Amino acid sequence: MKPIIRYTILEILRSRIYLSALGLLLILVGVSWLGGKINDNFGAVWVSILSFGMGLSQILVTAIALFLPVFHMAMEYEQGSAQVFWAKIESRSIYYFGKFCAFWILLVLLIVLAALVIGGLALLSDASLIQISFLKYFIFGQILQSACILSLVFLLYALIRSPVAASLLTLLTIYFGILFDTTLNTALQSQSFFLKLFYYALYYGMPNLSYFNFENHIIYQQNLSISYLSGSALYALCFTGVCVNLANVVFGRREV
Amino acid sequence: MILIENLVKNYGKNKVLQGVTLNVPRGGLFGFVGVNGAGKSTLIKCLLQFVLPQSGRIAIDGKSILEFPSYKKILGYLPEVFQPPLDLRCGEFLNYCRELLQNRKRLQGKNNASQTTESLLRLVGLPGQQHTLIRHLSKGMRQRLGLAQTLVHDPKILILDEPFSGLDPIGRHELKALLRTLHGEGMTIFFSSHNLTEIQDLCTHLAILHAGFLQASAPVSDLLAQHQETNLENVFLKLVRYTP
Repeated sequence: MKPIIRYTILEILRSRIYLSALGLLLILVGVSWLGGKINDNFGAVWVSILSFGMGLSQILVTAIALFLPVFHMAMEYEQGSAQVFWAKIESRSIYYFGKFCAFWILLVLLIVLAALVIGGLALLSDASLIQISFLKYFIFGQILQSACILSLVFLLYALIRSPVAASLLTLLTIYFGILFDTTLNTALQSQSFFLKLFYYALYYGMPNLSYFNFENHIIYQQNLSISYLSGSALYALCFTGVCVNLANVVFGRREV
Repeated sequence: MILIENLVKNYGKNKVLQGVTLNVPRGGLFGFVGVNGAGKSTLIKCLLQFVLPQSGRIAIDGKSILEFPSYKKILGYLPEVFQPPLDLRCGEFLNYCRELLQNRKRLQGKNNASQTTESLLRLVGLPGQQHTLIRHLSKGMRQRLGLAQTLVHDPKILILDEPFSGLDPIGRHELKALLRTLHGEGMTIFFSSHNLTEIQDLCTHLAILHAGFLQASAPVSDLLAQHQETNLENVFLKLVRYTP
């Protein structure tokens, strides 16, 4: 599996898509800095930079997680190089898990880079007011969130084989996950046992990305408790673990 | 060397392989012919476990491939449509393929690996291209690189799906020469093709597949003698009962 991770990373780092994404990231963070300068809704430029920068970076990282891996694998399949690799390994699950790890590492790299650029710009605007160490929550949350999104898109691609459909369905699932974020309150208020169960199932079954959103804590510079962070990590671990294992089983068995 | 017995494969209601039995002898240069949709690629996919047959058995050296998962270490495979990853260098791609088959720690020293890669590239007519990005290679050169990746681990069997497609006349000539050399070294080569002239020119054995059924499987000379023909095209047309 190590060669799959290593050479996929090397290939993607050299590819125009990843280089374009890095360029776009710099542009987006630059735009957030300009936005902060022009329209200071938050009362301080560094807050605008943090808020816009994190939001835009999150959109970019999510878009890359949704589209890049599945289109890369679909292209490898169409061009026959995937078949060449599968002919050399005992199980196709190894290939699939290797690709998952490679793309996650690439996303982590992008997230860390985004945090460094955002932090750097925020420091440039007002170094005396900001404690840049709070951006560790952004990195932590985004790493967990990208693992969840990536695992879901890998599972759907293994099931439906179409990169466009897998990406869009993942996006839709995330959207519904956000919509069902309020179902926990509904479940708590519900009198009927079955309705309570149904709402709980919706709440815990759909990917709930709000667990990884620490934007307010970063902006208002509040510490997060270890138990809350552990809970988020545990949720991401369980969600990713289930999706990746299912994806590997499905992909390893499907006819190609 | 490769024994295929009563292989049946259906895609839904479409019966692609209907009880195909085939024996590829050790050290043979085995051509596999059929019209489009005859089931050639499906048979190769069954051999590589990309698809699972409904019934039948495939064995290599007497061992069923289902009970012998490491059999892929003795196979080299080139698919019909092949384009290596464009953003890797030729040497990196070959190392990638080699590392998939071998534990990296067990690989020879870096200098030795580099020498092996260079000698492989020279063998397929790409000398000095180790550090060239694949993106900068022509289509024919990429096909040659594809052939080089089949040889990275010194396999006993080569499985090539339409290896001549997309090659110019010089490329075809060089590929034939290379296959003859490899065959001369004792490698078993199994390849599918549409081109009967090439098969007659090159192969020791031939199998003809038509509409999912095996029509013939024999040494080329025996097949020609049996049908009292001098060229394989006429034998093929007889066997598939072609009427204009």
